[in-house]
Amino acid sequence: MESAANSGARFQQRLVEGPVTGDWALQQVAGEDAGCSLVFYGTVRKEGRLGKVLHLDYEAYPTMVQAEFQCIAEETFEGFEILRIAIEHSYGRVPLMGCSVAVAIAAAHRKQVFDACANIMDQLKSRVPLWKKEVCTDGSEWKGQGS
Amino acid sequence: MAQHRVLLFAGLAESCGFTEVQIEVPSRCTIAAIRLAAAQVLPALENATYRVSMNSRYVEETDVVPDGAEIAFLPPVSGG
Repeated sequence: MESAANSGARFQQRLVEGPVTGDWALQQVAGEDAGCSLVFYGTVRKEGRLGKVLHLDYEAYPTMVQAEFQCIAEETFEGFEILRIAIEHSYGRVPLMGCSVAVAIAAAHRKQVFDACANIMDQLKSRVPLWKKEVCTDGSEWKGQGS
Repeated sequence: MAQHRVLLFAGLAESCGFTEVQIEVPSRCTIAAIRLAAAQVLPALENATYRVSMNSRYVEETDVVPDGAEIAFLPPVSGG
């Protein structure tokens, strides 16, 4: 599901085993027409319901992740004046402080990139078939929607 | 009758003890019928919360399932 680097497509996505860096996503949205680029990083925090978080284990339904991200990107292009979107998300183990998701957006002007990014993350958390198990010092559990 | 492969994920797979099951249902039945048939094979589904997808798209209870469709039961998502 990985796409060629900086292919000129409006939307790129990939699933990565382990932590992501965001570098790939930022590279995908770069271009001479962009006046700004924003990268959102989701990282693993220490507070867990069952003690201190040691790591998160992510599971994905890859074909549907791809389909849902494509729909979310199309909806975001319709609703916001932006040029390009790239999303990379982890599967497998991501350690404390590791980055599990990076969303990069480029636009001619900065006005709408923040709202577009918030929309993408809201949609990701409500409909994209990805799941995380929080592994803590006192046990582990699958997290529910929106966590 | 038709055989359908049903995929299970995350906590739902753990509570059922399987990541996929094969179920037999009448041809061109609804998603609701798929749910009922699966719950007979996997009792843990009866009290579980999950959405259903068909060929990687979310579907409704009344949608008809064509032969060969890939069905998945999806517990509440938690990406990000």
